[in-house]
Amino acid sequence: MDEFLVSKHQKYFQLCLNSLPAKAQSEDSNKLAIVYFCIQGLDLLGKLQLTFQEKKIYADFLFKHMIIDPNDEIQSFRASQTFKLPSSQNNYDLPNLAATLFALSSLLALESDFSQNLNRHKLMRFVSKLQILNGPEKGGFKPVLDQKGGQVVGESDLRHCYTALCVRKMLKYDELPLEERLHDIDVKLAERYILDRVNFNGGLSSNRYTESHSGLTFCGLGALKLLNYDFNSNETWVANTIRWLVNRQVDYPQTIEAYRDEEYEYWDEDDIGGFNGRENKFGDTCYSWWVTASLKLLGDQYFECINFGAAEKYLLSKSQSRLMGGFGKDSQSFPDPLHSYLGIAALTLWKGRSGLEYTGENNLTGIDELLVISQTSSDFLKQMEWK
Amino acid sequence: MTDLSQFSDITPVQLNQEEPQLCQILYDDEYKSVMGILLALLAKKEYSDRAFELTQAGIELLASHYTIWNYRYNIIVHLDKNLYDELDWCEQLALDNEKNYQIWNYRQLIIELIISRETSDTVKKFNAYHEFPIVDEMLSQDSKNHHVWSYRKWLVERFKLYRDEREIEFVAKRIEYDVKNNSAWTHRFFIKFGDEQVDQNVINEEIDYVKQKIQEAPQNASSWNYLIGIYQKFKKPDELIDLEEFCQEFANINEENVIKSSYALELLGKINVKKNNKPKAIEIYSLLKDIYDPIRKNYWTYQIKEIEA
Repeated sequence: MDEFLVSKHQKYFQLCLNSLPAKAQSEDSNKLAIVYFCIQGLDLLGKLQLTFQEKKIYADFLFKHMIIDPNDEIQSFRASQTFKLPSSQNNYDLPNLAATLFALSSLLALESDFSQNLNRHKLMRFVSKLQILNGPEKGGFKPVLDQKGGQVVGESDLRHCYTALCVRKMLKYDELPLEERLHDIDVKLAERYILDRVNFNGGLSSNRYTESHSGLTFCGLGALKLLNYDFNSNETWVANTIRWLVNRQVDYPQTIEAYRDEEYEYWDEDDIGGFNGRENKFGDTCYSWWVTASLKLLGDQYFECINFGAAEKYLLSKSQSRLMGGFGKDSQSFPDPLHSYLGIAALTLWKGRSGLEYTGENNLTGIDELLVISQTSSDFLKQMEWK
Repeated sequence: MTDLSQFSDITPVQLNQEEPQLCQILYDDEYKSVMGILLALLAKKEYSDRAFELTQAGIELLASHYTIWNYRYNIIVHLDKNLYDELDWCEQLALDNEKNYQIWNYRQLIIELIISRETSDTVKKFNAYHEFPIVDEMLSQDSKNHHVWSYRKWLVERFKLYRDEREIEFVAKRIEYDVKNNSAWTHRFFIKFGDEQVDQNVINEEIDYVKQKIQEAPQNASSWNYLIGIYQKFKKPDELIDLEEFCQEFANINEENVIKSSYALELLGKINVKKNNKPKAIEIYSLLKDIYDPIRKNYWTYQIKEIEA
């Protein structure tokens, strides 16, 4: 019987939350993402056992990442304190959309009521300024804001669209009466932008006619869901998308001639039960999340099309690190916070579905697949009230 | 390696000394000195050759940080650097580190800058073919690099290369080299059908082409999706039935159950749904569920229920 190594995963996240080796330098610009993976990861395990004082220290650390706007017009977060510059010279200390989401998601796990500290209109002024209103990328979002209106390096793609809508949801801006939304985004443009990125095979991609990708598909579907799009409107593309997603689960049955006789460098038996991001590619732990959560967003009847038993077997016996705890991207890789979090998120989403119990399964709490936060964080958000 | 002694007049910023911290990265000395000086230069917005040089070291250490790219771009503009040299620099950086994704967006911006500066007197106008060797070289390292393919797609769109002979030959070669390269199939779909006007002849040619590629390797999701994609985009729903005989070549369930392709079998099932031959469709989906695609048994069960409903 497979085992989910709860205490090893707990130790892994705690270790990362404390310090990271120098090789993590190259992820300095994703620092708040790492914090989010660790805090939310512990919460999924039911092991974010912090005292009131510790929670406050953690939350203070996150709030320090807020960028002070000299004109006090926008509120936002930076990705790492390393990049902090004196506020009068701040046009190289760029407000970062992803960092803003990761800060809010982490604060939720800490039960920090950010409605007390933040001004949602100023945050939404930041988010809405990121939206592109003209040209081929119309409706999409930039990852960072240059307030001086200068040229910004950084692509717009579905990740940023999803991120922007998650922030909006966490601020409950969508629940405000229209006339009270001082700085909302253009939701119609955003919806058009996403639907334009549905490909001929049913997957979604970074741009029109670029290759479908499971991660971007999740972002696109999540963003549509956050816009209250109706997936049951019987559009052809939805059926294509379901088919494409279901086909991401990897298998090489010997009943098919090619799998007996042919070799292909991307066919690896170790991947069986796992999921890939595109056709004819290797399996990867993170796609176990992106693919199955996408199906869950589309509807329970489609989610049930997954082979949960094979999916669990892949994560528990192939990509889980028995030595260090955490999950790697595949059976050959060292664990990292992203794959550890998404591996555990996937197992949480599938809890109880395969009918095959494994040790440690009961420790998994619950997950909000739309915002990719623990159920406890999601519940905390629900009861938060903006003044 | 950048010579840091030229920054002796700069007091490096002490990195991230605040306590307490979460996920504290234990920076090495190189990172501390390079980023420390870079932050000091950013704070005073120094646009100089030495700053230009230092951005390279910064990008090599932290390619995913947009600010350094912005800074480099601004230096280029302020100092009026040669933009073709900058493209060469990008090229070397990309080859040294294929996971450096930001480079492609930056390269687009440099090319746009080159074009924006062209006048009617410019002798050597920017030529999109300038970009072909670097794309080839990158794809020879990783033939499915998503960012490189996205960049290639941008080139086609930006310079209207849809019916360009070299572009058509490029994608044909990529598929010839690896018929299961889904990135190449996606690009082919784009150059053939991504433009506003699509010729009926092209549609027929592409159907013949992909059928031939399916013959070469029948168990290939990429080519089957390409075929189905064409039918969905350009044909009436019932025209899918025309493919019945073709599918039977790879999934003959009447004789010895020799199944060369689960995708052919699946399409045959769908064709029988279209023909309203429900028992046959259910029989086919059951074969997929039990024998030829058992990992998706829940999906096939769902399809069968849909037919029965």
